[in-house]
Order: sequence, then structure tokens, then C-alpha cells
Amino acid sequence: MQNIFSEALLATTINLSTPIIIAVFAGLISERSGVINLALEGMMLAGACAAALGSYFTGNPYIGLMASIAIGMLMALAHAYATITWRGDQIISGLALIVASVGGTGFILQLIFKHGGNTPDVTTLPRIIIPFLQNIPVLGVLINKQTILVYFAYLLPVLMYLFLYKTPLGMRIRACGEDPRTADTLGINVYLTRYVAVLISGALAGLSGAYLSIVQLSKFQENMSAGRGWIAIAALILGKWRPWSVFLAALFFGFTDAIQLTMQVVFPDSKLPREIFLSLPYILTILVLAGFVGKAIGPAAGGKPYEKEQL
Amino acid sequence: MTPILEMRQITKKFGNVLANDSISISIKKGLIHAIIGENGAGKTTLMNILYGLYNPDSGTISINGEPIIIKNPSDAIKKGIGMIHQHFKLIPIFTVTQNIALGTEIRKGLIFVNEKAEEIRVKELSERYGLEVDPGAFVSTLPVSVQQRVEILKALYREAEILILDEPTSLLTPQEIKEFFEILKVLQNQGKTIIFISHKLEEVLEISDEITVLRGGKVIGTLPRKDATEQLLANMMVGREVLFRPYKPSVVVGKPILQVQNLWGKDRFGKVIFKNISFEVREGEIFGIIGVAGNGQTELALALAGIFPESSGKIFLDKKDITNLKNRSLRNLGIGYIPEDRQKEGLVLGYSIEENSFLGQHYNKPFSRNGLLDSDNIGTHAEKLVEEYDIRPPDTKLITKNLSGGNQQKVILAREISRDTRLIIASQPTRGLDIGATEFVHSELVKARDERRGVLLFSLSIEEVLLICTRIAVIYRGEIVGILDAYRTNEIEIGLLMLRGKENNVA
Amino acid sequence: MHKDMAKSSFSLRDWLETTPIIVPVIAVILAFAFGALFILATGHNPIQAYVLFIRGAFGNTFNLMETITKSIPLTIAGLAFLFAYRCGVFNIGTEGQLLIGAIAAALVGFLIKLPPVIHQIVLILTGAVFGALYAGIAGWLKAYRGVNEILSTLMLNYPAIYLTHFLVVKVFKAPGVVPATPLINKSAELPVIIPDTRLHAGIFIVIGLIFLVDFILRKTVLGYEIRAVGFNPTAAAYSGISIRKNVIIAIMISGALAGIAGSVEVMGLHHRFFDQFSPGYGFDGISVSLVALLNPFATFFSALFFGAMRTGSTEMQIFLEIPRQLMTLYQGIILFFIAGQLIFITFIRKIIRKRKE
Repeated sequence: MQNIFSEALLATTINLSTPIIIAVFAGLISERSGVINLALEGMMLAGACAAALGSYFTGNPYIGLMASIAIGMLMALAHAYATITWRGDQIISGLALIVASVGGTGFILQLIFKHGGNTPDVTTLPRIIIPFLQNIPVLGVLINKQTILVYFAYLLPVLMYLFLYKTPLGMRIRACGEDPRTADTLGINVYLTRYVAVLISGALAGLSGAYLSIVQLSKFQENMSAGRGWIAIAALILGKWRPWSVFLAALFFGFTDAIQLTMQVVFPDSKLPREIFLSLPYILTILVLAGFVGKAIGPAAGGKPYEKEQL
Repeated sequence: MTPILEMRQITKKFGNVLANDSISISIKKGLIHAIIGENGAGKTTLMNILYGLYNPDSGTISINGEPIIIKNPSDAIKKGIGMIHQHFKLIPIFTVTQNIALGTEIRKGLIFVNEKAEEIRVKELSERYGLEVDPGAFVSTLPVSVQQRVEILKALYREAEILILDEPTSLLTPQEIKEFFEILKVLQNQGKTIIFISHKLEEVLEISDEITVLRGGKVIGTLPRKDATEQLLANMMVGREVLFRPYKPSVVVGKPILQVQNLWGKDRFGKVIFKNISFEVREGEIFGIIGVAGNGQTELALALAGIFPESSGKIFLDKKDITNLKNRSLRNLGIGYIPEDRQKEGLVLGYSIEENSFLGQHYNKPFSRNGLLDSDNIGTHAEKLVEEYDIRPPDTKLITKNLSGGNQQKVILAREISRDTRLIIASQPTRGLDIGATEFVHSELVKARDERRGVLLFSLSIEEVLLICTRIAVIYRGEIVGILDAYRTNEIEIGLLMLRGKENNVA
Repeated sequence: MHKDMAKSSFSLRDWLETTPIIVPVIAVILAFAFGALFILATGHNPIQAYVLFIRGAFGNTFNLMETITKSIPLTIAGLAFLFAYRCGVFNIGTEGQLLIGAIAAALVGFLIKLPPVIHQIVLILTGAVFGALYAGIAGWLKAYRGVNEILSTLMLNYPAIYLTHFLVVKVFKAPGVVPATPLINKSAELPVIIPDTRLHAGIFIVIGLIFLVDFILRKTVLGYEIRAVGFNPTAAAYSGISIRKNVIIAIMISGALAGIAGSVEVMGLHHRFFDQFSPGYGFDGISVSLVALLNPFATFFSALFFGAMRTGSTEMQIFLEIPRQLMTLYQGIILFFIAGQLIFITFIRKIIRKRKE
């Protein structure tokens, strides 16, 4: 087990976990309001595509960022409309959006660039150098020279915690997720609150996709989300819907992903197939769900459409 | 003195049920005013209208002489009305303060909640009204009596002047009830007006200043405490004209079919739900068990039907020990069960009449053989039932979701009664049915009785048990407090047992 | 959250069971209408494109056979999802179960020698058994640990993907460029039934399975109990039906069907397991089944439609350069409208009301 904490591994971890972290908070805020958002995978993919296209056509990666937020929110709006206003099935709506996203992004890619697979290289987000950090050993190198998205991702747990637990809107979101009827009798507009939560969810999900195409790689590839949206959902459950725990869970999944990538460096003599590490997040989630690693209890009103009807 | 609250000619209909029939009630400021009546008398409906959860079909509400319109709880809150429901509306994962302030949060700057300020206000209110709470405690950790205080504080925090309490003592222990009454006195001293919904006579007589009695959606009368006695109130609550009994008493009552001995049941938290239950149901009799909803009869029925069989004690069917057998076995031994909720428990609504007609016997002959369904036998059986029980529309392939409530119940009855059963357990079989359907159910149960089978009827309606039962047991707080001969008792006697658990031998 | 996730699916179930065919038809029409805008964006005439679509799907014998061939795994995967969903169980792990069934069949196919008909039966059973066992994990977790099957079956997809990948690439790899297992023995293959096409005998298995599933659900005690649990578990329990038993059986049969889908693909089309051979048949089976409103016979036609979307879209791509992925987008739109069921019900009610006036 040489070099388990080698710089390469840590740097890779930060890199790989960032999109998952952003996505897990996308899932968190939606579900805390009582709306299951399974479409993370699709929103991530669409966000990646939008970011790449935005950067491609304007040369400005920040436009790409905004495009990814916009597309995420658009998809979230559809989801919200179908599930909140029309009280449709949240799970199937989520799956539908994923399918639509896979098709839509592939279609646009093919349409604009005439060949499938990927876009040409696009301008990526610049890395930001924070001067005084340069002198801290190890951590300094890791934290420094990251893009704005990384800093954002690592600030998210704090931001989310403050938002959900310390602001009126955040608390109302949680109330809608636990007991919408009580919230209703206190004059809170459950529908509107849920819409807001889902839209924020979409924005974050789109953003997580942007990381893939304008930071991790410098282009958009078909299906590049590669199941990371589902891993974010696994992390959401593993972290039991609480800001710090889901953050750690997402980080952990990034870590296992990183190990599997840097295996040659870390376990040079190991015979373990990397497939085991790839499967790890999923198996772990199942174990948690089964109660072998604590109970997983989510928002009490999650998944149920709210009907403002008389009793 | 202008009353602080007046509700005039409030009428509310749900389907063909007239829940509130032109109710007029006048509440004086600073008094504790009780509204009492049996289950279904219309008390909760009336208060829900006052609190804006329902809108009345007609009628007016005025506060301090000024007519107002209440469309939703927010309007009610703005007018100074607060309601504490029977089932608390609290969010378990929030703290006391967070629950109280939800929806009216005090802000710190633009974005954050100023919890400190909220806590201070909560503490203030808590001290002023003697409602001891820990503002930082999570509601999920609090006992029921403290949760109730949080609910009251929630109303006070929003400057309620009129407090509506719906069955506030239903979940409290006697000691907690004492403490609760003291809180009410403090609230009253601080000038609050309290409306208290209950069906418990002794409490109402202890604490209230004025009492209004509802029955069948109408106001029977309003009287000051000093003019009220238990006898009078019971009479007003349940008194009726002379009962017309269309069913002849049973011919001869035979040997016991079901014997229940010393049955105790606990819920999953270990709390005792019913205790010391002992009775017999004999051949040729309809044995009724009646009580105010929530006194353990639902759980008792489930225990006897083998669905919630965690009970200690003994149950015998025709002298055979069937204690703790599950419902599948009980069915095979000849016990039929008509569950309380016909749509959720008795029928698969997505199935047709035909498919529901053999539910519970589907693995036996003649309905199936070697794992395959026998569609001929199923078909003829279903046709027969539809005809015999006059189920409408008489199409056995019709999906039961589309049937009326009465016809849905007929399907269940047909299924359970037509079988060769020794005992039929019927749990509120006429709930929500119109007169015609109710009569039908009654005549079927009487017919079963006349065939020398036994019927165990769980009911909420005094009228019903007097109509068809041979003997009537009253359940109160999980215990049977009396077994009466249906032909020798009256509604007052039953009512008193239901409402206070004791015979009226105390002056 | 877990119980509630299940609840939202239940109301959809009731609706699916009792909704007229018109709803998916409307969804499809809307998708094609809405999608026409996308086609316009490519600078082409939608009518022209759709004509090509039809030609590519049904235009000549070869195309038609291709469409039907593609519909084979889609139908079986659709039946798999349908069967579990009739019991109220949302099995979205059909992709993984399909792969497990396929690899098991592929390995048994080349490792063991058996006479012709027997070999094929053994392979199908192998696929079924392994698919059933893999799905059974999720079934056990749901029945005994209360784990919501949506999450467990989904999660189980990935270890299956990685495991089969590992087996194919690292353990049983046959020589050659594309990572794949060695060819199965000839005796295990499903023969092509129409010369010069790829349509294989798997179509007979499909037809057989449709009748089998329908028979089980409508004519057996097991099917009766499974559907009762799916509609109303409380009433089912009150009448003595064991929810646990039926949930586990339903999900295992579902997994078995998915496994058969995988093994039939191996036996009839590829004759071996090559890495990533499934373009998401398992996942598509879910859409197929929902569009078919959970009816076994309609599943075939729905699968045919989805197969047509694949072949038709290829034609549109070849001749008009309209990207194939457009069809996937259509699928998403169709599913989306099925999710938003209430739109239709409300819309239809409004029309009925207007007619009455």
C-alpha cells in the first residue's frame, strides 16, 4: 500500500469528486422539498453539452457555465410541471428526462458537428491561483490552481447547510418535504416552494455537467456523464439526505473512482481487478440501504404529489 | 356583551352526508366553551370551517360583531383564531422554536433566520402562560403532553385570541390532563377564549363555562355549566324518539361459537391498546361492540380477525384454540371478515366484481385446482352472488372501482356471508352508506344470525346496535365496561358507558 | 422516502391498467409532432423524413426483418419489467439481469457440448436462472430489509456491467479485436428463419413468452395473488395473501425474463457475448412496457415500434443526415407524457364536458 495518499491520488480525487458533489446537492435540495429528482444523470449530460457548446460558440467558458445552468433549470421546470402541477409520477418523469437528454444531446452533437462522438476542443475554465496558498505543503498545491467550480463544490456543503437550516426559505423547503399539509396550514405555498427547490436542483445539476466538459475534459462526448448522476443518487442515500454526510459520501465515491484510475501507482502489485473498485460505490449503497450500515430514512413526504384538497 | 365569535346557520354537506345542518353558535369572550357530541355529530367539521380548512356551503361567521370571510387557515390566523388539532401538526425533525416560528420566521438581515430572537419570544410566551418547553428540543423527542404545549404556543405566537382545541385530552394520561386544565385556566386568566371539542362528559363538566351539544349535525342546545348534569348532557347527545325495530329478536340463542378470554393487545411501541377483553358470541346472536372511535375497538377487531395477532389471552372457536392464528387459517376455519375500510382493506378495487368475489378463498376448490384458476366455477359463483345480493350494475366483469359504496360493500358481504362461515366479524359495515344500503347490510346480518351463525359487529352507532344486536358490549379505553341486553337497555345507558366508562350510579 | 417512492408508482399502476390505448397513441403523435420541429432545425422536411422513417422500418423485407429482430430482446425485456410492475415492483435492473443471463448462456454455450434442441433449452434456462437469482437479491432486500427496489435494482446494474466486462475482457476473452467470449457451439444457436436476414428463431420464443406471461398473470393463482399485491397490498394481506412471497417470486420471474432476453440475443444474433452488446435493451424494456400500458400482447407491438425507431432512424440518418439520436429524444418525450398522466385525463375530461354542452 505504498503512496496511498500520494499527490496524484488526492488530486485525482478532488477532480473526480467535484461533479458528484455538485450533483448530490442538486439531488438533495429537490428531495428535501419532497420531489424525487432521478433525472440528475440527464441534467448532468445536458449541462455538459450546453457548457461545451456555449464555450465553443463564444470562446468564453463562463457563457458555457451559464448555458449549463439554463438547460438544467429548463429540464427541472419540465419535471416540476409534470410532477407538481400535474401530479405525475416523479420517477417516470425523471427517467423520461434522462432518455430525452441522451437523445437530445446526441442529436445536437451530430447536427452541429456532423460527426458523432464529441465536439472539438473548447475553451476550458481558467484555473485560479490564490497566492498565499502556494506556501502550504501538500494541501496548498491541491487547493490552489483549481477552477471556480471546484471551490464552489467544496463550499457547497457549507452553503447548503446554511441555506437549508438557517434561512426561512430553506426551512420551508424542508417542511414541505416532511409534512406538506402542516406547511400548508401555516400559510406556506407548497407548490411554489417545491418549484423553487426543483429549479435550484436543476441549476446545480446542469452545473455539475459543465464540470465534465469544460474542466475535466475540454470537450463534450456523447454519454459522458457515464452513470455519475446515478452515483450522485447513491451518495445522496448513503449520506442520508444530510448536507455534510452526502458531501462525504460524494467525496468517498470520487475517492474510489480515483483509486481505480491510479491503481498502477498505488497498488502496483495488486491482482485486484479495477472492476471491483468501480462496483464499490453501488455495493456500498446497497449495504447502507439494507441497514447493514445504519438506517436510511429520507424526507417523509418524498415522492408523494401534494394535493391541496379538502380532507 | 357582544360575543367574540358568532357562527350563524353554518351548513356543510359532504356528498349526501349533511355534516353541519344550519348550526348557529355564539361564543362569549374569555370563556371556556365546550362543544360536545358523539362521533359524527359535526363538531370537528364545524371547527374546521372556523379555521378555514373547509368552506361552508352557507352561513356566516362574525368576530366581535364584524362579519368575516375565512377562506383558508391563513385568514383564520390573521383574525386571531388558532387551532390545535387532535393529530398534531408538528414537524418531528424541527425544534420547538422552529415549529412555532415556521411561516412567520424572524429574519436577521436579509437572508438568515434569527433563531435567537425567536427563542426569546418563545420563552416569553412560555413563561407568561406557564407552558414549560425547551425551545431547542427536537419535537420528535418530546412526549405528547409537551408536544401539545408546543401546539398551543404556536397559536399564541401568532397572537391567537380564540383557541380551538380538538379532543385535546385524547392522548393524555390523567395526570397530564390535570396539568392541561391548569394551563387552560391560565390562558383564560390572560383573556383568551377557548373552544373545547370533546365527547368526554366528566372533563367537560370540570373545565367548561358553557356547553353546546351537537347531534346529527344540528345544535341541540347551549347551556351554562351550572345548569348541566351528566344525565342531561347524555340525554341531549344521544337521546332519540322511540326506536322502531323492524327485526324480530332471534329465535333461540345456542352454544358459544367464539370465546374470548382475557385478551390483551399492545401496539408496536409496547403501549397497551386493549386489556381484559372477555366475551362470548353464541349461535344465533349478533354481538355488538360499541365505543367512541379510538378506544381500542379497531385493534381488537384486527386481532380477532387474525391480522394483528399480537395479543395475549385465549380465543376459542367452537372450543378449538385459535389464539394467534393468522387470518388465512382463521378463514379456513370458518371465520368471515368484513373489514372497516372497504376500499383499502376489503376489496382490490382494480379487480372486477368476479375477481373480488373469491378473494381470500382463491387458493381453494372450487375456485382453483393445482394452482390454476377455474374460470367456470368462478364465473357461476360470481353470477350467483350478483343476483342474490342485487349488486348493481349486475356485470360481473365490471371493475369494482366504478361501483358505488353500497354496491362495493355488497360485494364484500356477498363474499363473506355466502360462504359457509360459522362466525362473521363485521367492522363498521355500514360506514358511509346510504339508508338503503345500510338496511340491506342489516338484513343480511340478521339473516346470518337466523341461520344460527354468529355475528360479531363492531359499530360506532348506538342506533345501529340497538337495531340489530342481541347483546351489546361497550368498550372504553380498551376495556369492556359493560355487556348489555339489547332489548332491555336504552341509548342513554349505552351513551353513558361510552362517554365515561361507568354506569350512571353516581349522582 | 422508500415507502413513498413505492406509493407514487402505485397510483400510476392503477391508471395504466385501466387507461384506454388512446393515451400512448396520443403521446406518440405528440412526440412526432413536437419532434418535427427538431427535424426542421436540421433543414429538412419532416414529412419527407417520416416517409424515410417508415421505409427504413418496414420498407422492404430486410428492413422489416431487422425491425422485428431488434424487437425480440425489447419485447422480452418489456415483459420482464411488466411482470414485476404488475406486482407493484419497479425493477429497473433489467439491464444488469439481462447481461448476467447473457454471459451465463454464452459461457455454457461454448464450454459444454450438448445435442441441438437440448442445448438451446439448457441455455435459455441458464439465462433464466441466473437472471432470476440476480434479481432475487433485490427481491430479498425488499421483502426482508425493506429496501426500495428502485434503488437496489438500479445499483445492481453496475456490478453486473463491470463483472461481465471483466469476464469477457480478462477471463474468457477469445482471440480477436473485439472483446468477446468464444463462439457458442453450433448446437446452441438459434437458427435464422428467413434467409438473407438476421431474423432468428428467437421470435418464436418471444411469442411463447408473451402467451406464457399472459397465462400466468390471468389464469393462475400465482398471477392472481401477484396482481392483487400490485393493486392493493393491504387488501391482499387482509385476505391471507403473503406479500413477501409474491414480491420475491415476481421479481425473480422478472429477472428470469430479462436473463432470457440476454441469452436469446446471444443465441440468435451474436452467438457469443461481446462486450457492450446491449445498447440498453434492458433500460428500453421499461419504456416499451410503459408505452404498452403493461399489457403482454401490446408489449410486442410497443417493442416493434421501438425497434422501428431504431431502424427507421438509421435510414433517416443515412439519407438525410438526420441524427439517429433524435429517436431517443422521441422516446423521452413519449415517456414524459406518460408520466404526466393527469394531463390526458384532464384534457379528455374537458373534451367530454364540452361535448355535453
